[in-house]
Amino acid sequence: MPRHVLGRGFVAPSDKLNIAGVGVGGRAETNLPKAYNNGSDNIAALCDVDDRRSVNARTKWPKSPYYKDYRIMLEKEGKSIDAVMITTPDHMHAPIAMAAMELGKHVYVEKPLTHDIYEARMLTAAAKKYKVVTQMGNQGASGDDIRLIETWLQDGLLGDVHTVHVWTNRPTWPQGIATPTGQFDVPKELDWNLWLGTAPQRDYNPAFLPAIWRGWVDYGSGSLGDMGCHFIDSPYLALKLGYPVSAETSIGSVYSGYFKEVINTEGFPPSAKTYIQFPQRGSMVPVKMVWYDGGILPERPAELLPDEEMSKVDGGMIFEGTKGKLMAGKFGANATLLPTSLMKDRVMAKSKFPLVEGGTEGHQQQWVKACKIGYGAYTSSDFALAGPLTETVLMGNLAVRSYQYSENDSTGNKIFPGRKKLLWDGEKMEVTNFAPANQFVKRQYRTY
Amino acid sequence: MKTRENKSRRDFLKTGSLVAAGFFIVPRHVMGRGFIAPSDKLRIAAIGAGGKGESDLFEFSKSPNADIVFLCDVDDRQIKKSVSRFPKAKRYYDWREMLEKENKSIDAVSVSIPDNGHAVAALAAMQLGKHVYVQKPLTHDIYEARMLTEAAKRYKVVTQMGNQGSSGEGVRTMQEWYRAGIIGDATEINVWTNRPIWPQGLGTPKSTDPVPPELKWDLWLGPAQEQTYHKEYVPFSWRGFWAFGTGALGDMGCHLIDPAFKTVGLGYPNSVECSQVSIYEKAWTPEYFPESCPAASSVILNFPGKNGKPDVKMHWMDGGIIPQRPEELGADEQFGDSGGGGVLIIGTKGKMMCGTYGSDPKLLPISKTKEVNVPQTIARVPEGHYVQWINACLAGYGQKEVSSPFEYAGPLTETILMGNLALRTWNIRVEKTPTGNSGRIQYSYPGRKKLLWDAANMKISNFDEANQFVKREYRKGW
Repeated sequence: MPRHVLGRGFVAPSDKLNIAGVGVGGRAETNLPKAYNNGSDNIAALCDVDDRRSVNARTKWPKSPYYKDYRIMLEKEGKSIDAVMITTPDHMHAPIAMAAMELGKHVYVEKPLTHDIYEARMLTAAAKKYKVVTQMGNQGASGDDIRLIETWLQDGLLGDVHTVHVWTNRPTWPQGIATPTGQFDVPKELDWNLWLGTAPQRDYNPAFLPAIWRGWVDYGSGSLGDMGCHFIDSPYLALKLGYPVSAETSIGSVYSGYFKEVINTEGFPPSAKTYIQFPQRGSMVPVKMVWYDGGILPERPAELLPDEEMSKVDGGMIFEGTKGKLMAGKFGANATLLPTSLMKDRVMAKSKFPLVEGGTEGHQQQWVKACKIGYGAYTSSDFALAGPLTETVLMGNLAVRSYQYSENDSTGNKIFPGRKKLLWDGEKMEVTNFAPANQFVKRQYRTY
Repeated sequence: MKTRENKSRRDFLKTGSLVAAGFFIVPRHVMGRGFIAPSDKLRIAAIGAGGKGESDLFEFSKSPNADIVFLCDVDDRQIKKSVSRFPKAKRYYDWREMLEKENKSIDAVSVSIPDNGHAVAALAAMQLGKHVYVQKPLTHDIYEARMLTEAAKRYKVVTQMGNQGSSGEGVRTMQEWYRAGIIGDATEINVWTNRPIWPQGLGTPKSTDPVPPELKWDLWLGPAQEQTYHKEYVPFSWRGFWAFGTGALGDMGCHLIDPAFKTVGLGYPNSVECSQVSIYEKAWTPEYFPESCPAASSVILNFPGKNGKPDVKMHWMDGGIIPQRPEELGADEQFGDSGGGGVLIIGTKGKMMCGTYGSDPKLLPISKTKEVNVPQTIARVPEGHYVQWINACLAGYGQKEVSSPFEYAGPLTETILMGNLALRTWNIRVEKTPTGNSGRIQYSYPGRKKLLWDAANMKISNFDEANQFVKREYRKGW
């Protein structure tokens, strides 16, 4: 069946979706095979800036054309691809996704959706404008557990939920360290300029890749970027949180010697505790969300028995309402009322929302199938939801970076004027009581 | 009370003949253990005369009623300033030798050495009937704190812990506010410090340095287990290693928890839980440094309510993590003090806060501070913490009030050390049977829960392994 008759971006349901992968190593080695689904769909093109990272994908799909530069790939393969899966470092999510969407391609973008709040807003708008099917790679959004929590909370199980604690053990890589230095030859397999992409020019250093770019502000988005979308999506969805109104943080300090504090604004700190406030939403009461990372945990709820486990190693979440508390793990797993004895012999409501085939493992296929149906088909984490969710996650980073921000006062002493509660105008995307914070809303792209 | 037969040394002083007469010629034994004629001067021996010890001695010396008569320090570099300041004071290296030889010429002892050595030195002095001033934290472990508290009663000596804020104006103002019911009953206390403000949590040094000729390393170690010298430990950073120090809590806890402890009237906690920042030197595998105090931590203690009052939850934060700013505080108003520490007491009817040492107490909103008019009911200590102790020593046991006697400082220190017990228990790990074929050793951490404390029996009741941190083994010979 000729594809062109369906018009741009439309695929006959019986047809195979032609998917291009941008960033095909690491996490993409899960994403692409799940989308490929043993050949029920096509991996039509591969793109990676690092030949070492792409080895497995190129071996698996030897016939798929392989590119280093996504721009060239989109130009040359634009007509033969329907959708793009983006699994690159965070700083390249938005430029690549936007370019693909502008061509009418459906997109699947790893979490966090973007590096900056502004980018998240743009991608959310673009999904509507270009009428493409979108999905962020927070696979927990397709799980059964998140639907249960959404059902229970919206049914009033906890009364009015006013506080949510969310935590992760990330960073599980060094943060709060000095920026790597030294001269290194760029490995022949790597196109460093393309890896940098829109990020500021910097000499190659092997300490940035793979994966540990997460800890550096030019490329990654720290613990929140890594796990925030997995832990915050349950409360975000269930409580319809929307844009926050304020953020306040403090961070774990780093000292290189006695009285010698080191604040490296190029990197995220080793730990943080961040308060994000959400306003009244219709009949729903304001919510205070507290985020903890780097090993710092919330207080154990009084209802949790001393010997009971509060969370698995990755992290967890606790909802506090006027009628009770609910505790759950990553993706909302093993949600339990507190005290846990309340769960004994209790029949909990079943999800009032349809479950996704395959649950968290069906997240990629859900998107593939939706792409074939076309714009408007349901995905668990389309950008209308994932955009604002990502903005919330990035709001924490904005607070952290404002907290690190320093100026010299008139006597030459270093002061930290951003160490206060930052008030956020969500519609305008603006911190209203600390102007320097707004530099973290949107960054300058490098031309490359 | 026995009286002194000989001419008092005050007369020696008056005539300026002290130098010529020598300092220790007057037999004191006739006074009996621990008794000093009111007209006399307090003869203070210093255990630890450098660093904080040096400034302590300087403070004592401001009193016309005190003489610094002996200096004991294991480090020739640290003691220099005190030696030049008190040239007549005989110098010792080993306080055991000093107490033995000079017993009769000493009325009181100041202990200002690394935490690990506080209790043995203080107890030895108290057993000889000496009054003691011991730097904070009173002791290194909980058992020692309990022991010293009891010893103070038993030996009837005047005691004071070196948390000088305890004698300050702020703590008294807060007590008066609290007693007047302005914030109702306290239910929650947040306490934070920016300490550690040195690198911490990174494990013990891997190399060994030659012991400097000026340092008696074996004596520096005191009751700590035998280990090789490293320059990182001396003179300050021993604080960050459990073998010697007590971390951020030990450094600042007595200064910050004190105002809350006094104001609310807390005793022994009944539970503790904690979390701490993890350390990654390479990706994915956390470092394991159980011998180091953490770089940042969060500790939550519960105090059972007394006389029908509600329980009080105390949340301690250090290493950069601070509590949420209270709603009542304006965006640009200072939270805590400018030095990075603070105390927030939340009651059923209001909130109050202060800085380190109880400085700058405020009711919230701050405008309320000036509106209240609570009469002064608690005596102030214009002479200060040091002189207060000197005068109390001269008056004799039970005669004059001191701000931080061991009866108070013991439970306060136990509270602080309770946090440390939790932090150390957090790092107890047990090897799990390898799962899967990764071959990587997996661990479980059975102490990562709420620990229940049986204060009367000094025992964690739901995790026996934690009790190893209640009392430690001293090195052989100590």
